[in-house]
Amino acid sequence: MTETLTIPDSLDDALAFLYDQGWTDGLPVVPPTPDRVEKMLAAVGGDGSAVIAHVPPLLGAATLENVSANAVMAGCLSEYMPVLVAAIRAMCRPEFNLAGIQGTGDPVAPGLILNGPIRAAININCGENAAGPGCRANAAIGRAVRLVLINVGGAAPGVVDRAMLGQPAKYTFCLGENEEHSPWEPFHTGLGLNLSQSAVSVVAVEHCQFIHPISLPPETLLQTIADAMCVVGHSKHFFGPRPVTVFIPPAQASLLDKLGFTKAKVQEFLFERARIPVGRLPKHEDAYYWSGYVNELTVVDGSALVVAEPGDILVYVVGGLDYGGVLYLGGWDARPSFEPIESDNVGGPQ
Amino acid sequence: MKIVSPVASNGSSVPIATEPVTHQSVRGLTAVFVNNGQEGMRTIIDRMSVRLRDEWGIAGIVEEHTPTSRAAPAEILDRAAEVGDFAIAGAAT
Repeated sequence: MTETLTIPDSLDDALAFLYDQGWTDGLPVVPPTPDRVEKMLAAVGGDGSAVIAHVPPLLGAATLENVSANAVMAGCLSEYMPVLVAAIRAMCRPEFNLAGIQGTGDPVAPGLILNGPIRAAININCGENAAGPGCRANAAIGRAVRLVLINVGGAAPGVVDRAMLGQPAKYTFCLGENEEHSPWEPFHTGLGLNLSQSAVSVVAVEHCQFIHPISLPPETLLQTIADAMCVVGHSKHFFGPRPVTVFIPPAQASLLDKLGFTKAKVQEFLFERARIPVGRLPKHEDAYYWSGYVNELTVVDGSALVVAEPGDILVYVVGGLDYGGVLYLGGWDARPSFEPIESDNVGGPQ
Repeated sequence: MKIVSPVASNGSSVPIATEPVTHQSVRGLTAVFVNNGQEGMRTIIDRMSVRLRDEWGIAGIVEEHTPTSRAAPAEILDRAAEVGDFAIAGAAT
């Protein structure tokens, strides 16, 4: 252990101490006692001093030890650790722009989507209420990510994390793809992994929009998603196209598939229709401070692209089995990042 | 009870301001703007430079460019600290 602190023995006083240090997300945490941290470390079989990544913006070294301490505090079970390690590595790749996410005034949170056998192994919820409360793995892994961002990356709310409003996803956002009820190939196989492997996708979540299935005809549903992608005021309409994420429930995906809509065709459909006539966007001189923003828009035939290419619409099958709506995650100035989850995916130089 | 620290033991050597910056506390100092290379950031710096000089009494304005990053990673802040008294770092928004 690199640093062991002595704090008050009573649970109430210990929780107050941890809160007062600014080490929590505001909710009570599990005190990271040495025995609990050792149990986490044992699950990844690594040296506590091994550095996983350097977490922006302060580039604090995420070691297996301090990550384990944050995992304990978040309520993780030890078997969640490989997921947490992979997610941290994915988030710290330059393309994810974690420095920007950590310091922006926009309400951006990292969202984790898991694929592969790890989902069943740790009981990740991929079905009903997958993006909501009730599942320890979903809740605790996402929360541990937030604590690492605060305690290792330095994103103390109000100090470095200067979000004007923030959003609830900044507490936790982790779920799994419902591969077992999807008509399409799991997301991670599209990355070149096989079904026996597991992976985590990390996407930037600027907002969540539920899209009600107004009508069952697939074109109508997809057009409604495209319309939701065109909301004026999203940051990407000031700064140019950005990747976005769409969660489609199994029943809707199966219907689309039966009618000839492969995942690629869904992406192509949305790409072609998610375009905003430039006349709907604020005029150049009306922009509050970002007078150069129009230079970053990609305009085709008088309309601004919401995403740069079909592949920038990440499609996952998520949710319960009843017919239901789609969850659309507005992206931000960040590319999605991916990382395999493997038993040896711990420690080592970066 | 004993606990293991959840905090990284290293990172940027530049302290982050944790108290409100006042006119008095920065008067006569040199500020470093961390410019991420975007056109819009140029506009922000131009406007803020005028206010910092005229209203806040900043003695010098230095720009530090980070063309490969959307924001200001710690090493950029460290470098900025070598030429200025404090840095103003902007994320994309």
